[in-house]
Amino acid sequence: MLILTRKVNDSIMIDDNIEIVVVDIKGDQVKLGIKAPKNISVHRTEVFLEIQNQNIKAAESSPESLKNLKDLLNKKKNK
Amino acid sequence: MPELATKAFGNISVEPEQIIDFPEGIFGFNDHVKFALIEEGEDTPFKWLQSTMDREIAFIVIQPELFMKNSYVPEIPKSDLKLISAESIDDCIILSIVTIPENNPEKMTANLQGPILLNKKNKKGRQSISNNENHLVRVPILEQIGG
Repeated sequence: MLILTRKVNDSIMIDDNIEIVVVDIKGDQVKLGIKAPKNISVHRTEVFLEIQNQNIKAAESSPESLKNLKDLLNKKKNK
Repeated sequence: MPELATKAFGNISVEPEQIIDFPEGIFGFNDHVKFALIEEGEDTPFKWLQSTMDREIAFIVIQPELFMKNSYVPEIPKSDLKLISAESIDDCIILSIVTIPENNPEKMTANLQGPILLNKKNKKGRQSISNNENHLVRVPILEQIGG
């Protein structure tokens, strides 16, 4: 991993079209600004990981549970 | 008609037009680059995205408009559309991956933060991330349909 030291208002460039600016530093929090073309996707890492973990849980859903669910929905309909 | 080993239905035959290419796989399952889209049945809104490479890897999916009270348009980066050669989101079918807890099917949820985009024109798919923070990773489906 490349590690750089930056101060507030300093920035780094990734390629010639993505700029990451250190906007503010307060205690253990760093505020970053990201200037990037619209076609670049930027996400917090934890969002990405949460979706990945949810996919893993979703893949454990069994065909039987889907059948149980259908029975449940039918019961609701018939009430 | 090629035969496919599936998690839900055993060995079944699938039509070529049911096969979707996922160039980047699905998050956490990046090796699985081909899935078959299979209907669960006529009386249900659910479908299966079944990996063609491993019968154990399959996702239950649903089109969000079939259960969401309010309209849902994921906010996705253009790069994701480009990856599946779609010009706009209108070229795509949107699917949400469903999680059904083993002993608690009524607590099932749909993932609106990580929608699946399927380009109708070329059968290419991609899991994207919606940049709208109201699009949650676990949306209770039965609450939406007033269950």
